[in-house]
Order: sequence, then C-alpha cells, then structure tokens
Amino acid sequence: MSTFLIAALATLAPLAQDAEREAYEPRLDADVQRVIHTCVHAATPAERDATLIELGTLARNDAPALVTQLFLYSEAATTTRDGMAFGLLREPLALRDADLLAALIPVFESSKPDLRRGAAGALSEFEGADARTPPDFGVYRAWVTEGRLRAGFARHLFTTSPAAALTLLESVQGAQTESKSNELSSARRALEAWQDRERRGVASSGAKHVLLTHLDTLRTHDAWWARAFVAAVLIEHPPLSRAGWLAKLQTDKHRLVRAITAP
Amino acid sequence: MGHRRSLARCALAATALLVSFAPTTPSGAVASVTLTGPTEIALGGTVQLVIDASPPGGSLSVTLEPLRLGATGAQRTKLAAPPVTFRVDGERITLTALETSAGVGDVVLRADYRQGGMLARARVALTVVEGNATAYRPQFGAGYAPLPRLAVPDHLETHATRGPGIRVHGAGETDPSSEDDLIEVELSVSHASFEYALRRSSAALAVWTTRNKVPGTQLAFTGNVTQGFALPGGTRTAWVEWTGAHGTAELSLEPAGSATPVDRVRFHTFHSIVMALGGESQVPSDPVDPNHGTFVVGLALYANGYDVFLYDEDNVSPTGAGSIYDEIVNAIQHRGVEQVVSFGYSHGGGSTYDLADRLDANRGSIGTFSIPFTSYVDSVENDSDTDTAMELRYPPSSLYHANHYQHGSFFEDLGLDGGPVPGSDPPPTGLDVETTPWGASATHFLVDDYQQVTDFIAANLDVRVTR
Repeated sequence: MSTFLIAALATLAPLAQDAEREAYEPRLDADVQRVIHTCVHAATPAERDATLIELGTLARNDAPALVTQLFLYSEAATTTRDGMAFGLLREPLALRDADLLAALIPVFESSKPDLRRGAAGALSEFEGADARTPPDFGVYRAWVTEGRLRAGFARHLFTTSPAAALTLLESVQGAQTESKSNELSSARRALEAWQDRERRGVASSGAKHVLLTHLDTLRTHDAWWARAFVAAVLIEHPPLSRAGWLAKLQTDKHRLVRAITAP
Repeated sequence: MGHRRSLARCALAATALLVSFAPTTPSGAVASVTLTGPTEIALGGTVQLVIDASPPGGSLSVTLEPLRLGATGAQRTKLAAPPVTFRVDGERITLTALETSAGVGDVVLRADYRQGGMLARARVALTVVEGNATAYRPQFGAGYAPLPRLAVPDHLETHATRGPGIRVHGAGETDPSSEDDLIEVELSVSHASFEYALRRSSAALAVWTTRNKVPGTQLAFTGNVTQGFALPGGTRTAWVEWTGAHGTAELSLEPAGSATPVDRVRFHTFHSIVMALGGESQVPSDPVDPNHGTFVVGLALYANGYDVFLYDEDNVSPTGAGSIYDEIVNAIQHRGVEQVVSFGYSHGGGSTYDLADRLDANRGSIGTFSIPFTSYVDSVENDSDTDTAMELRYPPSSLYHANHYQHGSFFEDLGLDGGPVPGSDPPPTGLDVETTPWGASATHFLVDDYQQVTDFIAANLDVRVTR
C-alpha cells in the first residue's frame, strides 16, 4: 500500500465513522417551548420584553440548543405567526449563522422526513441559490473539514446540487493530483453546460455526449464523492443513466454513496 | 343537484296498457292495431304501431290524442298533428314522443276505416321522466382535497366560460398529480327502467366509467352516441376526458334510441392554471380556513370556473423548483395551458416571485406562455423558512401585479411586513392598507383576510385571465 493511499484512507476514516453513528432526533423542551409561545403571543409589550430577556439568557448559555427549540416550535406551527417565530426571533435574540448551522445540520440525520425537509428549508438561505444562480455550499466547508459529514447531510448536499457538493468535497478532500482535479472540473463544467442548454431549450447531443463521457469516467473514481456526484446526477436526470450504472452505485463500497442512492 | 322540473329536462315515457282488436269491420274487412317495440318510451323515443288490414288497399286513419306524439309512416315525414291517413298495405307507423308538460297523461290511438267505425284502440300512459347530468369542478390528485367536490351550478352547466372546465389530456401528459384530468359527471334519472345513452358533439370527449381509466371501462361511441346503458337505481357516474385540441363540446344524456336530451353539459378546455400560495404554516384545507385569505380567494375562483390549485408555499424552493413548477410546466407542455397565474401571502408572495423567476429563466425550454396576473399580500422573501425580508421585487415577466401590504409594529406582528413594489396595482407601488379606513389596524397576520383585499385580487384576475 502506498504512502499516498494510506494518507487518503486516513482522511476518509472519520467520515466513515461519522456515517455509522445512530440517527439524531431533536427533542422538544417543554419549558422552552412555553417561553417561546408566550413571547410570540405576548399580550403586552412588557410580557414580550420579559420573555425576550429570558430567551436571550438561554441563547447566551447554549445558542444551538435554543435554535433547535425555535426550529421545532415553528415546525409544529399551524399559524403564520407561529410558523414565522423562528425567523422573527432570530435577530432580537442575536442568533448567529454558526448557531443555526450547528443546530440544524444534524437534523438531516433524523428519521423524520418532515424535520429533514424543515432543516433544508431553514438552511437554504445559506446556500444562496435562486432560479438563475446555482447553490454554493462554501458555508459548510468548516463542518465537512472537521469530519462531521454524515449520511443524511451528504444526501442533502448531493441531491440539492451534485455540482456544488462536488466542489465542496473536492475543496476539503483535495483531488490528489492535478489531472484528477482537471477531470473533476471538466465533469462539473460538462454538467453545467448540459443543464444550461436544457434550461434554455437548446438541447445538444454533443453536450450530452461529453457529459456522459465524464460520468462514465467518474463512476469508478477513487474518491467516493466523485462517485456520489455521478449517482446524484443520474438520480436527478434518469435518462442519462446507462445500463447498470446506478445499480452499481447503489451497492458502492462507501456508505455515503449508498446513502445518496438509497430510495 | 336538486330535483329538476324544467321542460328541457323532462322526458316522456309511454306505457302500453292495452291493445284491443276489432277483427271485422262493417264492410267485412279485417284489421288490427298492435303496439310493438318498447313498452315505455321517453322523450324522443319511439314505439311502432303496426297495422294489419285485409283486404289490402283500403284507407285507414290514425288519431293520436292528445297531440303529444308525432307519427311517421312509411315514406312520410314526422307529423305532429292527426289525423294521418294511410293506404293500408301492411302499414307500419312509428310514433315518436315529442314533448309533454310535466305530469301524467293518456294517449288514445285509434285506427278507423273511413267508412267504418273504430277498429282498434291502444291506450298509452305517459309519464314524465326527469334527469340530470351534473358536472363537477376539476379534481386534484386522488380526489378533490384540499378543494371541495363542487358541482357546477345548473344555470352554468352550458355556459361557455363559467361552465364545466376540463384540462386537455395531451400526448405525453405525465399526470404529476395522478390521473386527475377527468371530470366527474353524475348522471341521474327518475326512471331507471329505460336505457340511456350519451351523445357528444365532438370526438375530443372520451367517457370512462372509472376515474382511473381502468382498461375496458371506456364507453364506445358510434356516430358520437354510446350504446344504451342502464342506470341502476337511477344514477351512474361518468368520467369525462378531453383528448383533442382546445375547444368546447357538449355531452348529452338521452334515452337510448332518442336524439332528445334529458340534460346536457358543455365543456370548455382550460387555457390557464392558477396557483394560490398560502403563508408560512398555512396548509390548504377543506373546508377552507376563513383566516387563510389566499385560499379563500382560490376557492372563490375555483367555484367560478378557474383551474385553481391551492398549495403550501413550501412546495416552491428558493430556486422556484418543486412540485408546483413541475405542475405548471406539464400543463404548458401537455395540456395546452397558455396562461400562468400565481398569487400569495407572506412567504407565499416570496414564492410567487421565485416561481415567476424560474418560469421566466427557463422560458426557452418550457414553451409558450404568459403570466397575465400575479399578486402579493404582505409579501416576504422566501429564501428560507426563516427569511423575514420584505419581498419588494416585481415578479419577472408578469403582465399585471397587484400588491397589498401593511407596516404594523414590533409588538403586533414582530415587525413582519411586506412593502411597496414598483409597477404594482394600485399604482404606483400597491396599497398600504393601513392608509385606508378599513385596514387601519392591519397586522401581518390579518392583512390577507380583508374582504377588500380578496375581492381586489379576484376581480382583477377575472378581467385578465382566460379560464
């Protein structure tokens, strides 16, 4: 085994261990929920101020814990007032972006689809995507660098944007060699070019052929995240899949690739 | 639907109660009159009167009483008034029920030689048959929820625009919301003893007896008329699909063998699709929550004949993608929809922007469409569920935009506000409802429910959007 490969495996090991952890299920704190409710439905300005002070104390002690409670409060809401409470109290309580990331990224490991959707809905503002701009996952770089990438979050990244996920993982893990880096960049550009033509209604068999060539190369790439990129593209665009490609990735040796391709 | 009594929906039923014979006439001839065919006839239905006379060549007259039946003899046109005189050559006369007023009556048929007395008499009892074809507003998914199952009012069932609307089921239709393009039509009649048929005015109409188009349940048309079918218990549900290009067409319920409708409905194809997007945590429900103003408007438009979809705004992502976008693209590409409408409250307004932006950005791959109407009510950007920024951007490529907002206070609504959007109606940037007497005490959580706001949206949409 080469020194290089040993180093690569050492880098990947924490990721694999993380992926083996059991699911994370955020729990309601009834006392905090009551304070949030009183604050949102305050009968007087004084009551609003008092509860804001109380919540502010909680935020200073453990901001991510309070964010989790605010998130769960709004997720259970049936009115616009309650549904917007999380967002509305964020500024008065001086909650930082890092607090939201710390509280919400683990929610992707929940077994409850509604909560996972809620986490995606709350974090989307950090990803910066709109109809004309692809997402940028740079905000998650520290999280992934620290080896905290787990199956649910990896699935979120790759299904939200295979290209942005590839960029993030490459920036953290490194492409190992310049030629591999070029290979990944070319694949990403091929996907973007093909998607752009599809979006503009000027489909090109040439662009599709270039993309398929790259996908064929990356589907057996050494890096799991390159294979995950291929899997996510095939899931998003089933007509691109060729016989056996997706099936092979569904039984990939890396758990995160299998997680991304799971039904 | 309620019990019908209008003349157009009445049918005449005739029951042969008695056939009598007078085997000889004073002149020595022999004749008989027999009713054959169905023992009952409905409006437009027929029964045959067979006259046998001997020796042949004599003259025979037939009297129909009262004047509610027409008579057609060999080589004769339909007659509405007796007496009808025939040369007796083994004559057959077809009686056709024309019309009757509501109620029950008798008809006496007499056949007489001119020189002789009555030969035979058959008494026919007439009964009024009532029936109805009730069309419903479009389905959504596996049923109607979150919209109610809403019948098209009787007085609108043949209206060219407010009558039953139907989605074009074009080639390549992907049915993202399952097979919900079929329109439910409930058939009911007062007399289940007859057989009935459906007549269509265009081959674009296909009729199924199952909502999911189970193989073998499509009704076959011959010359645009189905074969006769029974209505056990007097009712049956048909599911109507539009398989052609845009247009209008009628479907009539009539007694089998008749061309006179008991009732008819006129379908028109939908040219538009309307998306109503609620605010954060507002989930459309049936019955509609009166505090969900966006859905109140949506329901009113649905009842008024628009193809309306009520949605939680979370179905639109910050990129505009999601199930709503897919529904719209499918409608444009496969249902011939040409106009897209979206309006929303709070985050639903932000999602209206995101949706319009994506539709505009991807216009080249979607097809031809316009956005003739959009509306915000206290719109908030929806880059995430925690986004509280005012949505102040005009929806890209919208041809008309209405905007209502309020400015509230931190205590009232934690500072959650919409705001002015340049180019909106009322000009120049929309209406801060707190500047009006009726909206002076508005908060973010009330502004969508003012009738002045919902009426403004409905009225301005109605004059700008083709159903």
